[in-house]
Amino acid sequence: MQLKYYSTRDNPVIFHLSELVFKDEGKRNVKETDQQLRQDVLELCAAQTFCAGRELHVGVMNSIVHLSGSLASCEDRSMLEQMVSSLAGVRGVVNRIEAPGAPVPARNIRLDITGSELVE
Amino acid sequence: MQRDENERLVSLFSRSDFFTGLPEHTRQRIIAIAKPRHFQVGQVIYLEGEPADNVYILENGWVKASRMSRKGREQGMLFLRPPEVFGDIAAMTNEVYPATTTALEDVDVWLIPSVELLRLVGESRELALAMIRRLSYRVMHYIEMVGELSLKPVETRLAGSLLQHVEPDGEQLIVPRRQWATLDEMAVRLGTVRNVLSRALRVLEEEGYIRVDKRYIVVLDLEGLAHRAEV
Repeated sequence: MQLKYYSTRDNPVIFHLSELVFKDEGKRNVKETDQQLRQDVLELCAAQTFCAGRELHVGVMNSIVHLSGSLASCEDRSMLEQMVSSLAGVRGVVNRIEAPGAPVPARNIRLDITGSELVE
Repeated sequence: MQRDENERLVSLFSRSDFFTGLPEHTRQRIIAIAKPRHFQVGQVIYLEGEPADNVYILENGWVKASRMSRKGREQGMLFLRPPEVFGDIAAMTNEVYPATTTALEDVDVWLIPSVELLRLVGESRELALAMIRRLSYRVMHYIEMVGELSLKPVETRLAGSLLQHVEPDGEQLIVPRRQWATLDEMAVRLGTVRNVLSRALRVLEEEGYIRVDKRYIVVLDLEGLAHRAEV
């Protein structure tokens, strides 16, 4: 089913009803996706020996994963970032994990993982 | 809880309007459940998108709450100094934290588990009212912020921010620059980027409102700056 909204006489804007249904539903889906992604990242961390015994924090907002805590080395830090960015559904990683040699305050950003990459 | 910790909290509460308005027994219950934590400069206190398990009372140091855009740009939401409470919005809505909070200096905070705080809110009318008042102030802050970001150019926002932090120093008026107040942090605070902020500072300097020194910014024309800030 489609709805037509005429912004001008000649330029109808067509919405598919399914896209309009319903904003709240969409929000809920995003929230559930974020929750699921967070769970995936936590499980990934739990399976890595280099994360064992480390206090790591994971937050996911709009499919961007935020990481903090500390790891033993910069290599571990980068490896975890790579692993997280390759998880399905992850749109970016903000890596605030502290490690010897990491920038202070720690903050690497890898966004648009499937497209162009920005590293700060 | 150790006695000195108890005393620290009593002292902290005495400096905060939020806590001084609460009945003694409610304050005591908060003291009983609060746990101290220390964060070093640059450390993350909590992340955006992380479950809001705790509410924080800030005892020492400045903290920043900011949010990252999908393009990697950081927007400062709040810059807080003691005594302040933060993390409460997410706790009250039972959501994840909406922003990442980091320590701008060495920071001491007290954690209150969100579940415990919500239970106390349910039992204490005074605490509930205090929370409503705080959250209302936050709403006002964000309304102000939306207005600033959407309606005012950077120079105007900068002028307003300088006015908020101006203080007398001998015979002159200055805005002290804290160690963490780098151009990048100031830009995050004003919702812009370093280059644009640099340009805005130069504009205000050329217009004769301020003089930028390494350790502080001297306000040369307070009235003019207020006019520039559209206040």
